[in-house]
Amino acid sequence: MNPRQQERQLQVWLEKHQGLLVKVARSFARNRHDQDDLLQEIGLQLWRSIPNLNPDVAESTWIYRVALYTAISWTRKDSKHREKRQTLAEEPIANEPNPDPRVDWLYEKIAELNPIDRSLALMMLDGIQHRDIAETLGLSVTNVGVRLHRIKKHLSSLLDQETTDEL
Amino acid sequence: MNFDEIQLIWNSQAATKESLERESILLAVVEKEQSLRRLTTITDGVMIATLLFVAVMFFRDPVLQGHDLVLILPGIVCLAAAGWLFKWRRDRQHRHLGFEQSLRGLIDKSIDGLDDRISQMRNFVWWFAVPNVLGLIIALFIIDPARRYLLYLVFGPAFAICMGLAIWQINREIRSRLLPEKQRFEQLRTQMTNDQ
Repeated sequence: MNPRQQERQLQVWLEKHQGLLVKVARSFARNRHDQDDLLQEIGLQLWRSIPNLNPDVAESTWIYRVALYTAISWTRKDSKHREKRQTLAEEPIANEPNPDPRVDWLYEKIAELNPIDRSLALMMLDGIQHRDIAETLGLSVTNVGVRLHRIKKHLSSLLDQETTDEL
Repeated sequence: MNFDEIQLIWNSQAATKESLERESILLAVVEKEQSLRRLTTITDGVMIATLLFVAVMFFRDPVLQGHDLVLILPGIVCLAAAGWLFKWRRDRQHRHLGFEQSLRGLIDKSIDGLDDRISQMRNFVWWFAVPNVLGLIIALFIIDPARRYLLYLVFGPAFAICMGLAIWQINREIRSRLLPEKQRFEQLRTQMTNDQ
């Protein structure tokens, strides 16, 4: 595949899967500036993954895999930058608030999970089947089921707590 | 309250409102990719080319003029080091094709890549310094008819200091950047496996 075809393929993916990419970026980066940075990095890794694309794997599964891996690695690099920024007392630029504030709340809670559980939660909320999640992350289906059950319970209890606090 | 409420919140976000600046991402990707490829090619190329160049320099007199045959020895060592470096790179590329194509496979691949990099840096002395030092020792102490001991007195320690500094810098890079990065990937792998 030549670079022009690669560029076209990436353009198609960015168009078709922008919702998925934005969700991953929002879950792993806390402000707009970092999200743009992460999206660029995901774009780069997607571009580089094109020649290795496995035709037996669903396109969205492939994109999830690359995006999550990039986001996890990026988070680790970013934590160092964040520490430096915090020492300089620089305030992060906030995201534009969502019309439904509960969506921002949910992203906040997802961001508090460890990177693997965060990836699991994202795919589960996007309706990906357990089998595909297992294949994407390299876990067993049973393990995915157990972890997702725990995450569901955790998020539900947080929502309960939030509702009680509001009352 | 059950999980359906959470799912409703998630579904309520308007995915269509989230838009990507596709053109700028694409442009950034193309630029980054080109610069990364250039950097990797240049780094690997320079290392292999240096060893090949030094090998040619060692071979020049023995082959063209038929004297100082002892220089063939460091020439062969340099050639072998360049070949070994090339094989190392190719083996790594082949090995990486065999990793599972899942997130866990990518993490394993990253750990392997870091191990490989650490090993290559630690072996720098053997694949780069030894062939060159061997050649220099032969050239200065065996072949050079002038026997400029004063020069050797300055050159020897200066070379040793430079090599020492290079090795110190390599170890520092391994300790401060590569090992912590490897540790983080291993933690991530543990997070994935501890519930299996």
